[in-house]
Amino acid sequence: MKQVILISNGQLATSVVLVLIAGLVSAALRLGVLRSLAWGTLRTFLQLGLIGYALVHIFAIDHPLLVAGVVALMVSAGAHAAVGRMRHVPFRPYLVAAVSLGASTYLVGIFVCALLIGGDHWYTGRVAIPIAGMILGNTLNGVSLSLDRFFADVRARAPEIEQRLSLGYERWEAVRPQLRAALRAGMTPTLNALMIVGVVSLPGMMTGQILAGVDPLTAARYQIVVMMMVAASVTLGSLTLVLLSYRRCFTSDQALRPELLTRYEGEG
Amino acid sequence: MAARALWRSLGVLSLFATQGLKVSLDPRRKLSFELTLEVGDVLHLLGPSGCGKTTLLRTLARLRAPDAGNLLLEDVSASDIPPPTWRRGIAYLPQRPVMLPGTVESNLAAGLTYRRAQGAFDLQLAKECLRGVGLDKDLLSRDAALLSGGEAARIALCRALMLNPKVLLCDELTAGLDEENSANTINLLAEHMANGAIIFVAHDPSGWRSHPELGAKLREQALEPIPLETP
Repeated sequence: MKQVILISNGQLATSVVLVLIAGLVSAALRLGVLRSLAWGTLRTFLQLGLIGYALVHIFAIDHPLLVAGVVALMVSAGAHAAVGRMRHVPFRPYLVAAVSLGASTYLVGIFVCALLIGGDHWYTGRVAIPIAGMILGNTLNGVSLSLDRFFADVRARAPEIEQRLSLGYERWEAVRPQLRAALRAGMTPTLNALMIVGVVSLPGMMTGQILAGVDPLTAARYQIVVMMMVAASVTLGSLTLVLLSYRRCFTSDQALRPELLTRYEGEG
Repeated sequence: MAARALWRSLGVLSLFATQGLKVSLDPRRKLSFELTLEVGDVLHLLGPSGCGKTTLLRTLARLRAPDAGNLLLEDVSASDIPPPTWRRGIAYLPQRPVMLPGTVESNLAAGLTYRRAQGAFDLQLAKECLRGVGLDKDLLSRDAALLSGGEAARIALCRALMLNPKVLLCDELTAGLDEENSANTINLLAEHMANGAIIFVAHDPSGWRSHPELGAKLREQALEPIPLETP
């Protein structure tokens, strides 16, 4: 392995210059994003700095239970972030989001760590935590997109769904087209990434490994595993969340909930 | 009526009935009503716009929960009948007909082609239904999204009849139709529903005069029977 290219504190501080330029342009054009940009930059420095220090200690202790606990905390934060992005969901599905993210993260994470890249020490923090982070970061995007799309579609297509119910369809049959569209929406960013990876973009992990001195072919192998892992976890997470949530569209009498019908009910 | 006598001989008291039904239109307005239908009954529901006619039909189709009370189909409580089974027996035709994505044929078959559907799609019967409401069988292959309002209303009726429902709930079914098509549609309904019952909301009930009917008006907060003129 070649020598790692280190970033000094000075170089780190200099990276802010890029954001300053972006901030000045946005201020000049009155885009209204200056505040968010500044807050986002500050949070990035704080969050990554803190997690860096925390990981040093977690890696030093390196107890499997501690690693599992850290991953659970990450899942919980991921569920919170996923739910926060949902605009059309008439309830706050923290629990089902956490279950879906947790199931996909642990299942895919253990598979990848234990069978593919972790070797004998797959449960150590140095292997498990970065993998879980990558799975979560991508999956939470997919699950929030899919559930949001599902409820937006159910609202827009309420008369059609009611028509199916009127013809005697079961709940899941009545919303099956919406379930399909939701899963497609959740998976689209991942599918796009699978199509363009290596051609248009070099993913962050692969770039990081190459900069850290790893042979590009080895980095590419790791990246392939990561892409497969992300595709699997996004599919699994979105599917679990949508299937656990779709019944919330319906009353106990298997009718669409009144709050999803406001556009056309009450015609006299 | 022969069908009614046969039905009574089987010991069924009523085809469809409500028991102490109460429905909220809004926080201040509540409807309460009792109705009993027997085979062959045609109930014409009158009342000004916004008085709750659609709400009543949706409640009877179990697309909306009542505040209190019970519904009975052939003396069996709604709570003992799964909603999908109930809705196959009580067909609801909304004021604005809804076509599902696909062709007219797939729409006509929609109630018979999903996983737990009961019965098979009879293309010949579908063609007869189309002819009965004044539509050509060539329409079968057309994209249902391209139908006019009047065509969609008649396709929706045929789709409901393919399920052979016991009770048909029609909300302004003939509103967009001319006199001839309206009469054809009503005749088809009367023929297919001879062993069932119909509740219909229509501002102009003239087309229904040739069929036995009851009249009821949603007035104030209750359903009141009213005498209807006979031809």
